[in-house]
Amino acid sequence: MRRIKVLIDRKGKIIVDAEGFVGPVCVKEVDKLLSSLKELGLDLDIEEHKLKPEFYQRVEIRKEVKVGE
Amino acid sequence: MSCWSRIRCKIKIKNDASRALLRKALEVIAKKLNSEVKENFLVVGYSNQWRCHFAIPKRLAFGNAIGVYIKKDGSIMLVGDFHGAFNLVRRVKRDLERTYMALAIIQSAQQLGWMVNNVNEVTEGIVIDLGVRR
Repeated sequence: MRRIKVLIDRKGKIIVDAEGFVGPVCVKEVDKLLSSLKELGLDLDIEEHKLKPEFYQRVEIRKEVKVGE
Repeated sequence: MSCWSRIRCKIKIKNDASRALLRKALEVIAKKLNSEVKENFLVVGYSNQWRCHFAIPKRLAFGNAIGVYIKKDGSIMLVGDFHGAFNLVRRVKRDLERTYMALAIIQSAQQLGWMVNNVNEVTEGIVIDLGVRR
């Protein structure tokens, strides 16, 4: 299961941590959350963006094709 | 002596959904203060009064409630005679902003089809654990 952990600290700062994602999917998912929050009146500025090693991992897509079909 | 104040919060009300969320957040705060949320409430102080969209009635030194006023641009203010109650109001402001954020995150996550696994209040703040399917 891919998880997103959100911490709202005592000062009202939001820290988002994505786990179990490979490649840039996590950034897309977090962006979806941020734009949804914007609709609810929370316009958040990204202060810092730390990418984990998983971000740079490639997603391998295998497709088997039989010759002659 | 009194101190009529208007304290701006970080939240901006854009639509009915955010207004409903504000009410929900206020209900959480009101419960902590052993009070309830009133709508269209006249907040009265020593030498001033202000009709507010929402209020949490609370006996203060010179005031009858902590009012919440939504300005035309959607920004919100805590309004009232806060003489002698600044620490309480500061805490209410902080709690309101954080509770609103938490509720907004939960609502947004559900709209995105994510699972809300856990919501926990810890010493560092509020932790929301979301499960992303797909």
